[in-house]
Amino acid sequence: MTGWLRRNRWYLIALVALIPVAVVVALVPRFFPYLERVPQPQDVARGQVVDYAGAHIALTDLEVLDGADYSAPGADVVVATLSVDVFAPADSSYCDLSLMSNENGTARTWSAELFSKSDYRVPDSYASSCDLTTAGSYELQQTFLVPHDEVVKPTVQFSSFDALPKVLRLH
Amino acid sequence: MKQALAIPAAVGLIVLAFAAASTTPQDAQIEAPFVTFGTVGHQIFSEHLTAEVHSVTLAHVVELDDWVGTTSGIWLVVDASVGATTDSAYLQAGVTVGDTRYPASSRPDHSINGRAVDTGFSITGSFLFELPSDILDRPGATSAAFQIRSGLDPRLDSVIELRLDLTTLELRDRVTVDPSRDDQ
Repeated sequence: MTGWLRRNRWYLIALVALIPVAVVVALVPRFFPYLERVPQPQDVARGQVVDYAGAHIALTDLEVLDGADYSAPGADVVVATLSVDVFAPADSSYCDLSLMSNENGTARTWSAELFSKSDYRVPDSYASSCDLTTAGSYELQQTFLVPHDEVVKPTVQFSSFDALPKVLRLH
Repeated sequence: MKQALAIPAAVGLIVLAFAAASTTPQDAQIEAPFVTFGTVGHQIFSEHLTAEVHSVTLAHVVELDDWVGTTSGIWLVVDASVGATTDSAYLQAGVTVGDTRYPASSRPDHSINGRAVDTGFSITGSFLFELPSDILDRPGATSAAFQIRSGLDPRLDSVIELRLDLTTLELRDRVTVDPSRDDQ
């Protein structure tokens, strides 16, 4: 048996080497598309203007309001205000804001409210949904309902289909 | 030695190839939801949802606000509280009896099914299922799978499941349920 092992050692070594190679080759068609899809966040400080999807975008204000003051006991209302200046209109109308929090050891996400569950109302002077398909500048404000006292340092994620997988994390 | 091993080795490799091909997971298995099992009256935690089923009842007629639900079958009424843990959820429930899945009814306006739940919040209400009148005689009625998921697409989602013996449930003529409500 020892003689057989010695005579075939190079085949056996090749077999041991080829097994992980086969595994890697099998995973490549899934791994690289995954890398292309996974969000690539860019951190943006409050007030900083960045170019994204053909627009100058800045987070101008991010407030956490006590929901009890707005008929939403047990909740807080997070109000995000952004300045948007579209200089190269995007092809896709998809544009999304979400709120993220990584406090208390848990990563959590909230969608912007379509209909306010509190008494807080977005002033008429603000747009309530983002649009990157039309040139021009506007102020955008969206609200998020979060559990009371659980979100202190939220982050706003801004994404547009035209710029994915790149996303902005404004805080 | 070499010749003696060649044929068994070849046969072994062919068998291995068939075994690998037959055990390769298909998309349905690769993308199957992660199921967390629980029982009535206990808090159940999955990655995206928390849920507690308070009661399960069968009825011929269900009343919800001004809506009176009549059916040629029978109603399965599941009262539950459901919360979203990490992402906003769009509650979707179904009951599988044997090989047949029955989605929660969209007939009543204020059931809990289809309600959006914000992260960190929970709501309480009733899931209503319109089942065939002979459901209790069908195979699988003693082990129906009630599932709650957080969206329309269950692939790789976390799903909460309770096994229900429908044949042991009380069948009532008429049940009145409350509209779904926020727990806060």
